[in-house]
Amino acid sequence: MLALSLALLVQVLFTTVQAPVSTSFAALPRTPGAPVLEALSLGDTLPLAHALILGLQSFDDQPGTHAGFADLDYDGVRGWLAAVLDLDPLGQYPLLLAAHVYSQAPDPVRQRSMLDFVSSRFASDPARRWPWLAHASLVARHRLQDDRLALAFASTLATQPASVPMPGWARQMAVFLHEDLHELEAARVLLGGLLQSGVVQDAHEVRFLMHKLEALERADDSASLSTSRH
Amino acid sequence: MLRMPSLSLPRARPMDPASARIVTWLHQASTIARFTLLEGARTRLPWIAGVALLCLAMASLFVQHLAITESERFRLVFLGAACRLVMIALLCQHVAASMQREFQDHATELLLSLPLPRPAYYVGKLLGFIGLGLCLSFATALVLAIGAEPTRLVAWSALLALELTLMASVTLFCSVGTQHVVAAVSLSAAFYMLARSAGTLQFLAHSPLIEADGAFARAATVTLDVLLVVLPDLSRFARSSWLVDAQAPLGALRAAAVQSAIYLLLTASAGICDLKRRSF
Repeated sequence: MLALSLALLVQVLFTTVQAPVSTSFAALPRTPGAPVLEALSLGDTLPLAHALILGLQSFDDQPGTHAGFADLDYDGVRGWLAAVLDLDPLGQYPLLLAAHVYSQAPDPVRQRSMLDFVSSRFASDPARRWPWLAHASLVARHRLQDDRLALAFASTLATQPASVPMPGWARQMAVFLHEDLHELEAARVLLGGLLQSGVVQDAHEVRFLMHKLEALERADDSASLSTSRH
Repeated sequence: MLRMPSLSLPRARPMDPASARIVTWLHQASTIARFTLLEGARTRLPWIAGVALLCLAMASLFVQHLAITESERFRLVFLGAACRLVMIALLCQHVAASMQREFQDHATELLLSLPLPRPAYYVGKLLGFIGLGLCLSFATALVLAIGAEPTRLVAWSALLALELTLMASVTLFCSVGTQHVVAAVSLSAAFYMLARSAGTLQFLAHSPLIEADGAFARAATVTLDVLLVVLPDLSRFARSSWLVDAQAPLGALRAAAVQSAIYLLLTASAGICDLKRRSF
């Protein structure tokens, strides 16, 4: 009993006097190749993908230190996000982190890198990934103040075939962005095409968009009239 | 007037000696299987499995808490994958320890000194361990039932049962061959890891980026190819995606069943050969 108590006391003392863990921020390791990750997964990629993404998510919290997004190597982050998405193509987690979390970095270059990641991965599964591209468009517009980039993302959404299940507002984003950029002709064409495609089914929504189309046509006519007068 | 049906049983025809031998053989094997199951139930295996499943269920709630999105999917994937690994580890250790105990207590010698054919003994043990594997996969299914879609869960659990069956047969073969717990468990673990990553290893070995000019590299690739032809591809058994994304296709279930049957036959034949040549 005495030996047990002594051993316990020594253990407690040892833990207390141990040197504190390093407070320097460790850099994000490079992403291994896809075959290496496949081999590590022992034939079941989902658990590995989930473990990696949870590890990446908490990477900025290291023992004794907390790093901001500014300290993270965004090329590395992008590599890991891509690796996880390759391991779990049906998962939305990497895209959510890119669009909602890592795009919050106070650095336009890093923000653009994440938005570009979302955009580059959209085409392989538009039906599941449209929310992230729609959000990327909003981030480009309101955070980066880059209406052209926002419009590019929104146009990608607008030109998706009707077979891709997507709410009307996501397809209509490009119309309003064109309007804001005073590209009334483009907005009118896009909206006319949207109404003609039959994607919008709701009667109220159709009426609202028809009014919008008429307003755009009127504005377009008056704009062209004033141009011809000049 | 109602006629009462005759209650007398038809007179049993005397069996020919060959049929009688088969019936006795089956009876002996089933008795061994029953006692193997009983041993599993009376050792701490059910308790350990229960506590492990409970701990994993609680750990899965922690994983669910960590995830920002798809939290239920994360929980199920973690729970399924962890349960699969733990159940296989438990069953393999139980098989190796049980056989080791029988060898050390000279129970095997005692049993084989009776008019009990060695194949009947081996098959009986194998059936008992397979029964334990089925119980473990059922317990895993019960834990996963909260949250998993029922049809996906049934298919996934069937695949897990087949994986456990295959691993029980491999561990029994290793245990009879080595008569040593550590060796048997190590061999089974190596077999499991190789069989799980078989497809990827083959892909890596034949990658165009790898230069196979040297004799050693060529020999290694050929050895790997031969090894992978003999090994089953366990990555086709209980994939996590079949638990959370889409139900395992019928073809996958059929292929896993055929693969397990082939491996049962293979390891049982090898084990029986080994047991027959052994002198106690």
